[in-house]
Amino acid sequence: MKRRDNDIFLLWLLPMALVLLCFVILPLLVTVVDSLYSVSLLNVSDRSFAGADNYLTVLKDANVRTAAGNTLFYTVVSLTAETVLGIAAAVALKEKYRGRSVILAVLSIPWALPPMVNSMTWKLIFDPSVGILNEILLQWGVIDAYQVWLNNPELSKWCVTTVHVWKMLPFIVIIMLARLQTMPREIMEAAETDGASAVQKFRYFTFPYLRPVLFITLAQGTIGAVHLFDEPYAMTGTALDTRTLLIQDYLTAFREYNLGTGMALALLISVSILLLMVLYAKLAGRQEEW
Amino acid sequence: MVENRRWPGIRPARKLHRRTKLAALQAAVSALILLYSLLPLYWLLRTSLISKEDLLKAPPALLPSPATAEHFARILGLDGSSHVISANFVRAFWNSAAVCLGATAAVCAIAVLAGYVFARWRFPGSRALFGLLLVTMVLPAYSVMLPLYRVMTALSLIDTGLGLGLIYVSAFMPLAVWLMRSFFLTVPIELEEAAQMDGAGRWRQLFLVLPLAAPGLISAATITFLSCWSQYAIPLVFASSKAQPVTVFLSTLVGKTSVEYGLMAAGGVLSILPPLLVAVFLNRYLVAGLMKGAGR
Repeated sequence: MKRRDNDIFLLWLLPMALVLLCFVILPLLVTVVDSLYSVSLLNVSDRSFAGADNYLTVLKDANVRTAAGNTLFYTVVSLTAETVLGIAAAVALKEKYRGRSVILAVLSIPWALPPMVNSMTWKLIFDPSVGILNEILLQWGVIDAYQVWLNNPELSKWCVTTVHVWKMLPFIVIIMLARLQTMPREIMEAAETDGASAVQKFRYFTFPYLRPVLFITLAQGTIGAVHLFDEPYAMTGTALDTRTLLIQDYLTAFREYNLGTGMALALLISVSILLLMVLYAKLAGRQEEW
Repeated sequence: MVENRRWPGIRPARKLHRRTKLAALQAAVSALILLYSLLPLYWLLRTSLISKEDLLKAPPALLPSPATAEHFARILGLDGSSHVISANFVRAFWNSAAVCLGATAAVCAIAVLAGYVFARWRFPGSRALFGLLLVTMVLPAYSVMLPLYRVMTALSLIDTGLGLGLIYVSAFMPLAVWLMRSFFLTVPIELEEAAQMDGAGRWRQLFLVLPLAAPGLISAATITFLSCWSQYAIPLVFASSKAQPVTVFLSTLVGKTSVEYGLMAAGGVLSILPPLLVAVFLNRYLVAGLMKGAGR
C-alpha cells in the first residue's frame, strides 16, 4: 500500500520533470556544446569545432564590452535607487493605517504591467514634441531648453534606468515591507522608552532587522537589471548607447546568425549571474534554505 | 499579519503628538505613491484621448479637451478605416489572452502536483531536484533561448500559441512550484493522515487539502498570468507574426507609424487593462505571493 502510494507521487512529479528536462536542461546542455562550435543559424548542420574561439570572439568584441559597461551602469544605478527608495518607502508604510491596502494595490501596478508598454508610456512623457517632461522641468527651472532625452547619449541611459526602476521598486518595497512587518513591536517600544531618536531607531534597530532581506532585494534587483531587454529595446532600439548584454546577444544570434558566438555570450552572462547569486548568498551568510 | 494594537484608554500627550506626526507622514507617502504609479498612466490615457491637432500644440495640454474616442475606434476597427491595424490588434490581444490563460492553467496544474509532492515526500534526490528547479529560476530564459529555437523549429512550433505557451510554462513553473510547496507546508498533515485512516487515496487526500492551499494557488496563478502578459523578448523571437501577443504588436506600431501617438496610446491603454484589473482586484494574493516568493 505504502509503496504504491509513493509511485503515484512519482507520476505527479512527471509533468514538472518533463518540462524541466525538455525546455531547460537539454537546451542548456546543447548551449554548452554548441558554444564550442561554429554554428550558423541559417544552416545549423554546417558546423565545425571551434574550441574556445567563440568565447575569445565574445571577449574581444568592442560592442560586447560597451554593452557590458551599459549593463553594469544599469545594475549599479538601479540597485542604488531601489535600495534607498525601497527602504524609505517600506519604513514609511510599516505601520498599518486606513487605506494602506489600497495604496499597496496602487503601488503594485507598475510591477504588474508589461515593460514594453511601460516603455511606450514613458516615451510619450520624454518625447520632445508631445511629452510633458520638458515642460515640467522648464517650468521648475531645472532645464533652460527642451531636451531630446532619448537621442542624447548622456541622458538616454538614465531614461531607460528610470523606466526599469519604476517597475522594480514596487516589488522591492513589498519584499522589505514583508520583513519589517514581522519586527516585534517590543523592540521599538523599548527603544522609545529609552528615548531613542528616529535616526537612532533606524540605525540600531530597523536597519539591522532589514539586513537579511537586503540581500534578497539586491539579488532580485541584479537579476532584473542584468535581464534588461524590453525597456532599452522599445525606447531606443539597438542604439549602442543603451544596448544591454541581452540585446547584444539577440543581435549576435538572430541578426548576425552567429549561433555559436551567441550561445557563448549567453553562457557567460548566465555564469556571471549565478556567481553573483552565490556571492550574495555568501554575504548573507546563509545557505539555500529548505 | 499582526493585528493593529489599539492604545488602551487614555493616551499620553506625547504619544498623541507622535501619532499626528505619523499620520501626516503616512498621508504624504500615500500621496507620493499615488502620483508615482498613476501619473505616467494618466499621460498614456490623456494621449489616447486627445485629437491629432491638439496633440502637437505647445505647451502640451494637460487635459484632453475635447476628448475624442477616434484612436480607440480606429484600433478596434469601429470606424471602418484601417482594417489591417485593427484586425492585427484584436488578433494579438486574443493571442495574448489565450496563451497567458492556457500557460497559467498548465503552470497551476503542474505546481499543485509537484508542490504537494515536494511538501509531503522526501525521497533520495528530492532535495537535489528541488534545488535544480530553484537554480533555473535564476537562469535567464535567453541562456536556453537559442537551442529552444532549434527545438521549436524542429517541432514546427515557431510562431504558434502552443510553442509560446510551452516556453512560458517552463519559465514560470519553478516559482509556482516553490509557492505551492510552501503553502502546502503550512497545512497540518494530520488532516491527510486521518483521511488515509479512512482509506482515502492520494488523490482524495490532495483534493482534501487543496482548498486550504487555495490562497497560494490564486497567488501563483496571479503572478504567472502577469508574468506571461508582460513578455516581449521571448515572443519577439518565437512568435513574431501570426501568433504575436499584444506587446509585440504594439512594438510594430512604434516602428512603422512613428507619428501615430494617439493610436499607440490607445493600444497601450487597452493592452494594460487585463493586468491592471488583475493587479488591483487580486492584489491581496499578488502581494502575498510576492512576499513569499521573494524569500527563496
